[in-house]
Amino acid sequence: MNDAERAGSISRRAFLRAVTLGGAAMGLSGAAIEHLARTARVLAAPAGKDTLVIATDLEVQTFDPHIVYDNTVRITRGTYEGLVTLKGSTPEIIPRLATEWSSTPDAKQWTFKLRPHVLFHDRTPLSAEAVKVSFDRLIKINRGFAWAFKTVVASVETPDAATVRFNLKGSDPAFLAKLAAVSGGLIVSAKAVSEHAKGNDLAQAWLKENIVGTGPYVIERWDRGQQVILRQFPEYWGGWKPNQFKHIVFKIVKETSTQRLMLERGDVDVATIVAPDMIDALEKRPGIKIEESPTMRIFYIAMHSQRDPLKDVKLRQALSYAFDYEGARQAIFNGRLAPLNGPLPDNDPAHLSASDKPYHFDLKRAKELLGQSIYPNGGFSLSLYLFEGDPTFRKAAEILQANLKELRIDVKIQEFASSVLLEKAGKPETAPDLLPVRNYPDYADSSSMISSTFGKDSWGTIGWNFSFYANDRVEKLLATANTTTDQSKRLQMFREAQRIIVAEAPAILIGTLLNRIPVRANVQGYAFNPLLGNTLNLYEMSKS
Amino acid sequence: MARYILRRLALLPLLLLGVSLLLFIITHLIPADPAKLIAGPHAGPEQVAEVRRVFGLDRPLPVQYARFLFSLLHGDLGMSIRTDRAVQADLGEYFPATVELTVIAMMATIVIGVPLGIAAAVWRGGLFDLVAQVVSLSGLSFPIFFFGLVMQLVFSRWLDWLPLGGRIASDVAPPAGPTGLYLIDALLAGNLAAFASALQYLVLPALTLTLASLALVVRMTRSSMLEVLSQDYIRTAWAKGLVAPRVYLRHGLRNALIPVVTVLGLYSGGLLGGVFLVELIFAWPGVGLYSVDAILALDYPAIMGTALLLTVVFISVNLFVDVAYALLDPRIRY
Amino acid sequence: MRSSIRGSGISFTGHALRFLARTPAAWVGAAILALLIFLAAVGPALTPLDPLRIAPTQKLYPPSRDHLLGTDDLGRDLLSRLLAGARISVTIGFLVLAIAMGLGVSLGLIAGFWSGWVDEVVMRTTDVFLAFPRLVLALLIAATLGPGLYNAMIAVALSWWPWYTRLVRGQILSLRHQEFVLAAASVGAGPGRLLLRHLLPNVAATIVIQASLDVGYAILAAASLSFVGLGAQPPTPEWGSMIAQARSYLIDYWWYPTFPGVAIFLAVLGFNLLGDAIRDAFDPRLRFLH
Repeated sequence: MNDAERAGSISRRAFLRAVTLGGAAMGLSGAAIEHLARTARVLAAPAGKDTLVIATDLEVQTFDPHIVYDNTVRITRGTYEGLVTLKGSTPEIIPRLATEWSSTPDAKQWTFKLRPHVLFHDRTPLSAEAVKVSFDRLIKINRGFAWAFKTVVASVETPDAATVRFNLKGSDPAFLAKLAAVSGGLIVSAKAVSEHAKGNDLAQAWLKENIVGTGPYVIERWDRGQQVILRQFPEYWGGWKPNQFKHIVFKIVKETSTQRLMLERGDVDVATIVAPDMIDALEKRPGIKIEESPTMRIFYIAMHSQRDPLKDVKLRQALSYAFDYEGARQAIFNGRLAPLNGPLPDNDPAHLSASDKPYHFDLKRAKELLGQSIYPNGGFSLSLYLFEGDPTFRKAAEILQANLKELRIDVKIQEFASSVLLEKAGKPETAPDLLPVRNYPDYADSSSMISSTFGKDSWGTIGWNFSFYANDRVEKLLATANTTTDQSKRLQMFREAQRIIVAEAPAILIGTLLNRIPVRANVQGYAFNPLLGNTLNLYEMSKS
Repeated sequence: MARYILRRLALLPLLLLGVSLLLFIITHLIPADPAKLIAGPHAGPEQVAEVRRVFGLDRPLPVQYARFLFSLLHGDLGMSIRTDRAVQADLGEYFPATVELTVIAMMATIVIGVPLGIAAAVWRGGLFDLVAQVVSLSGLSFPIFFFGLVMQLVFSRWLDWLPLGGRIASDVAPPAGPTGLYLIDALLAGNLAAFASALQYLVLPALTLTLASLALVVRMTRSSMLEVLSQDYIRTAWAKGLVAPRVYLRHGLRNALIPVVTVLGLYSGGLLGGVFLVELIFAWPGVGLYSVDAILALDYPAIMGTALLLTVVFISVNLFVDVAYALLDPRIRY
Repeated sequence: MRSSIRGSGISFTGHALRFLARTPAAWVGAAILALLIFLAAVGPALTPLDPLRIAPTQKLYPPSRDHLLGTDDLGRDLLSRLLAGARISVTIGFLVLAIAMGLGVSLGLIAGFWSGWVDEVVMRTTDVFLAFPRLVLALLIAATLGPGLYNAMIAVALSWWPWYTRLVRGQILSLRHQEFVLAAASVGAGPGRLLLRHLLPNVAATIVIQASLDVGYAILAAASLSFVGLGAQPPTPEWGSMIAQARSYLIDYWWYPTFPGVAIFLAVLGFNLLGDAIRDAFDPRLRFLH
């Protein structure tokens, strides 16, 4: 036996011993596990009354208020504030960091009086300087919501410490609505920006993980991919009542069914991505209620109007008649879907009425229109892209697919993760013929939704115009409305623009979403932002 | 033996080079414009062009590959498009969770699977053997993602014993520690609450992973044990009048362990594959979850980084297994 | 020479088949597979309802006389969809194997026959492919090719071929210096003739045994890709994608994800049972390979 062999046999013995010992250790820990699990059951009991736990599928990249332009605002809205905000689920604008404001009659200059005794999380007081720094920073970084202000704001002045004046490049009657948008002009501490700036980065690296706003909550912990925990800011200007939440936990859970079971078990108080079918099943469970509120989010299927075959308006109209609207309302939303008669939802003052929208499910009419199109007998195929994992889009797509089979049109569906899909759908050359999608106005002004969904300058992901629709008359109306200060005249222009759009059918308009989410029955004070879904007013909520 | 290991180690850089090249080719065939993905929606053409320049995406592919290799040698895997953070930082955070899950599952598989396999072999043809065979074949045929769902339904929903998903309860602070393995870090810190909570969250995903791979180990152990039991020296042992447990354990098991070790190498690959689906279902914040998200988002630096990491782990485990194999069985010569 | 090898092969095959016929597991597996292949062949003609017909008002019906396995979230008949899916899954299983085997076996033949740098290049390439955990590589390739059933099949096959290359190369290495090969070469048989007429038939049994074990796994792997969203696209009634769509319904509408799950399970079990039995019958030693 040579040395190597000897070593081998010793190791074998050692190996055996290790396996036996390992087994014993596991056997031992079997009993220990049981004991510990029992301890943990008590420890992991549902969160107390002073903590709100929200299950969400957020993907946080950064908390920088001047970069965040996605669902992360659900968190940053609890920590940063703007000058004005929306009242509950309505498009009505109310004061926040500004207490009052005025504008010149031509809407070119806007002056805001700041709320006194407001502290940032770093204990510096709110000042006009901080507002100026924030807007300069937003425009300079030029990401997120900067586009709404970049072309509009000429300069920001600070006549005194409590007054801010915006000088605009032209009239902008929607300026206030822009300030009240979900990610519109949030104010950050000027001291934090100058202290933590590295080179030219305007403190971007630091503000990615840190938060210095004026909001009711500060960040306590961020476990990437797992959770974000917010904690009360004791010196919040609004003050604190004893029943308000001391902690807010955003638990990141991507699986719908996991969120749902967590809600039932009481591990979370709010589940945010539960699918409509599941919500109705949950409605019957004890301890759970369904919160429903109106939104301004519209649900539709965009049709690529710049490329064959849907370039043909007759074909788009045919498709608009071929979709089973009522079946979709039932199959996708169990009937919980508000009407949509034009690009604007019913809670927008400029919305159209049911008589303005001719389209309903009528295959005979659809076939007639198809007969007048460039493909009178069908026999072609259309590409349709799907945002991965969203059952509402998938069902709408499959319903359209089944309906269009009657017209001998073949719909080819492909699913993509959202970032990939947006990259493809972003430009007319690679965009699909059909794209089921949601849109909400960037700010609560009628102009926002129309121009972002069907405006010439909003093609693809620049705005949200996946129909690549453009109409000169519509553009002219929108441009005029954007500088007109007479509200009733503006509404008329918006209505006319919508009628043109409806007639040219760049999208199959399915409905206006309702924000329906299942929550624990003992949680109160919900009001959802009408623009972005599932965005809660954390400060006003409580548990009984 | 030493020469064999040296040869394997010498080939390792070449293998990794090949792996990185294959990865580079695959990720650059991706039918999406990485510059656009990085710039994100709402970016204008100038912003995209700027990103292309800054990230060197306007260079020829061989140059890009050389640059990738160069930064790789400096431990830099690039910036993730999706999380906007260095990939190595992301992996540093997600990898320990995967290690914790797989190691526990692997240990459980051996501890449960080897005795079951031996028992099945010893009582060959008996009822126990039949049950073990049926169960293990079923285990091999069950889609792991469906199995995970059933586990959630039974243990979380109906029995309400275990949490559904995640790694630790939200009201328990994750233990900060040197390893990133919650169980060990919690023990090191003497934090029993965190340990208990982490353990509780670990059970279901680990069990799912275990049951999915148990079948393989039971079958392997059984068949190699049968092989060994039919050998001459076992019969000699019987003839010498040794009592049964001693024969099985001393002579049988020792040799039967050899193929078990081999299968662990193969199985680590299967496990790393299965771990994707398990992490997805149980919201376990490991590299599986991370890379499925990266793959779906075509986040190519993250895809490359994760795949490289997993491959290195896979290769090392296999190397280790080969060495262990050689040590266990002196008959083997390389 | 050749005939003697063939001769012993036949008697061995006969022996193995007799052994196979005595294995109950083989019968169960064969029965499942016979049913599966029958359904794949004529299933679409048997479907009680159009598997793509949408009926919004009949969604999520539990199993009943009208819908033996219930309906899905768009009111489609689940039994009809499962039957239609049988053909898809069988196609996936065999097509993946065909691609992987075609690529893997030919490279294995080449590497084993022309040793030297050809062998070195082929085998180092397989090393690179084998360095990846299989599903990881399949996921990567599928993502690159874009979501779709055919792309998923190609992805699985591309992560699979090196196993065949290794298997075949090893066999060829041991066979090519056997007398019957040398004899054929000495009477002027070219490489192509040697490979196809003399070597391939002798490794065929090994390949078939390995393949019979792999079909089930190929179906599972493709279903996994579909589950992640990289496989079959709506409205294709592929079982894996059906589970993916149905998974959030498990709690309230158990039948919706359960039946596709059971279908995959049975199909894979059938292939495993039969494959296992075939392997045991033909070569008891091969069992260490899996």
